[in-house]
Amino acid sequence: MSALLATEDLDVSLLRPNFVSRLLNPWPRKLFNILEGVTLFVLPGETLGLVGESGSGKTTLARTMLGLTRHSAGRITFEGREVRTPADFRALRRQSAMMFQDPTGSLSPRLRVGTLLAEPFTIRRMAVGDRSALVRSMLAQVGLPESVAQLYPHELSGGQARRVGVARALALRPRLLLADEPTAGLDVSVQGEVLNLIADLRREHGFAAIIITHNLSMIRHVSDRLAIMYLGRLVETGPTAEVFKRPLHPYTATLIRSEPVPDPRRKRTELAIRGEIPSIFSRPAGCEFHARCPFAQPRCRAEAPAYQAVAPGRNVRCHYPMEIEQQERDAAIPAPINRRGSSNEVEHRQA
Amino acid sequence: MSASLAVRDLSVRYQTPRGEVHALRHVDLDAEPGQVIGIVGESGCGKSTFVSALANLLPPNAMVEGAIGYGGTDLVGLDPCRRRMLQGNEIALVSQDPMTAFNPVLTVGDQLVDFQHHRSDLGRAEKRRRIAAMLERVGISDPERRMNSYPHELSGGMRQRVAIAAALLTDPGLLIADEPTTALDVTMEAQIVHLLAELRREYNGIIVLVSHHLGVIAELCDRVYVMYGGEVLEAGDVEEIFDRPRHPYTRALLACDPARFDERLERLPTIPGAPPNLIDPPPGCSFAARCSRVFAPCHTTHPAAKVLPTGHVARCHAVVL
Repeated sequence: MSALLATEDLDVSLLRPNFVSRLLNPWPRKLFNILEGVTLFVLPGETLGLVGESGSGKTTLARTMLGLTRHSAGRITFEGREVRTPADFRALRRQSAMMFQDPTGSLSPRLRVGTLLAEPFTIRRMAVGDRSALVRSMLAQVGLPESVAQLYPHELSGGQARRVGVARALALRPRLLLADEPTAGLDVSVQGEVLNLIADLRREHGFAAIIITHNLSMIRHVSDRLAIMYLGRLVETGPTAEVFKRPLHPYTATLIRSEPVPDPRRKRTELAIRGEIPSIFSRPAGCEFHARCPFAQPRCRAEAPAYQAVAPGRNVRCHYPMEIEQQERDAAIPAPINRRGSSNEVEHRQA
Repeated sequence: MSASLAVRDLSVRYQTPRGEVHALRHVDLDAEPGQVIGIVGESGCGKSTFVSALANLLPPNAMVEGAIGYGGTDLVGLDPCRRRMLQGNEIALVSQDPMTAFNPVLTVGDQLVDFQHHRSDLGRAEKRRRIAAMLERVGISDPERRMNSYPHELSGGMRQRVAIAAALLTDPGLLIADEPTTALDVTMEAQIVHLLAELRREYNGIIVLVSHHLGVIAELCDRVYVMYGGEVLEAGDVEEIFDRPRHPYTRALLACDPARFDERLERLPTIPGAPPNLIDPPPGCSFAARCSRVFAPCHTTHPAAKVLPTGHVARCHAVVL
């Protein structure tokens, strides 16, 4: 199957925001890559999870895919055709939709929900016929009562605001939905409702979805494939179940182990990851993850690893991907507590 | 100083133009020094009202009834001046958003000096030494340099560490952490949870931890209070709550957590319906409208809190002793 949307070696650069150095030395300007060499695709009808810490470039990538941020190198293709000019991006945005991070903040505070729901049609200058009937059907689709149409965004609860966001995003029947942190700040039950709603509508209308999140326990249930980002680069991609079962990049493994488990008998004593994500303006030399990596070798400090395919559908950016054969051997031995999957590899690799 | 906490029949009502909101109803809570108390529940269930009542941060339109006994003194009945004196020394709060907890135009070092204003016996240099030691203890490297940073220069995880250091500087007997990891990434959350787990070993006061993240509660707490609609529906030791939940709401809440399932689920479990309106709370059980085990008395009679032999407390008609 050919990709719906794909990026090849995508870079996004910014000028270093240092006023003084620009004043003293206006040329040549120093560029800093926010995203670097991102090669990613999403298939028609599939759900891709985009995972990483704050500052890893997830939102920038989503914005770049829709042309809201300009890329400085690389290619974006939609259904095999390159998207380059502003007109191309307008056509792409007509077929795709973005749910922004802040559900209430992305709704104009001065408009009622009814007006907000009809807005996509107004912007595209599409005839809607009976507007109130349209609004009613959109509200019904996302499970909101009709009375919500009369409310202002500040009167909505977090879950209701997300539902309005879903209805707006799907109003024009997009081929692709980009949802930026669709469940941030929601209660666990409401989170389930919003994700089930997106999944139901996806089954009905068959659009592809990219879900940006740092919530691993949620994304493993809703995505087909995962892409893990670190400091503006992809570090691992693969089918969700396989990534959770056998993470190849040490960063993925530590992310999975960082998730607290709702079981009082499994209190962790070891900390999975130390330190913080480095600044994009001072990228570490070599592998960017080496300072936080429990397995870093001298080579990792000197030489940046390539993003390579190691198994069908699985790519990883690591000199020493956690060996697949090793993990398969471990999986064959029933470990007493190996719920999170990666405790064995850690010991073997250190040995 | 370490003292025990005994909250008895605490109710909070807010006067609003739309009517009286019963934000907190008849809450009982006990804690001994050294214990970590977890408070869990959905948004709008009264968690924040409860910790605000403990920390004396309720808005002026709040009316408080009942008693908050701390070391034998009832904080509710205390005159405001004495309550502030006691609270400043004894009760510290770590809030959800570490950005707004600090003054943006002062360095964190200056602010942490100000937090120690009650220690008139210490000079400024001595206070700065205490700060440096405390920042080191919460895992901030190069504390001398960090003290000269402004809050915006610190990352979210580091700000939360500074907020915890600030709370511990007053040597409080009661440390309240209101959603301390909600605004953080999973890696920073793991680090803050790890820090709190380390601190609780040496800290001999009470920690009250509010979170809607069940994993965090399971990892850190000794005793858990499950809140819903302004009430405590179930309370018990952490193993009891997670392994043998008695109240249907606790069961539903635990079942909703996607972290409990390793295999992919086609549909995520949810609790149908919405929490009750607290302006006109239902006469019966507050969870009756969403409960799967509802029967006749649930809609009409308010269930009493039943104490089970295991020390478990459940407010449900379906629970039999």
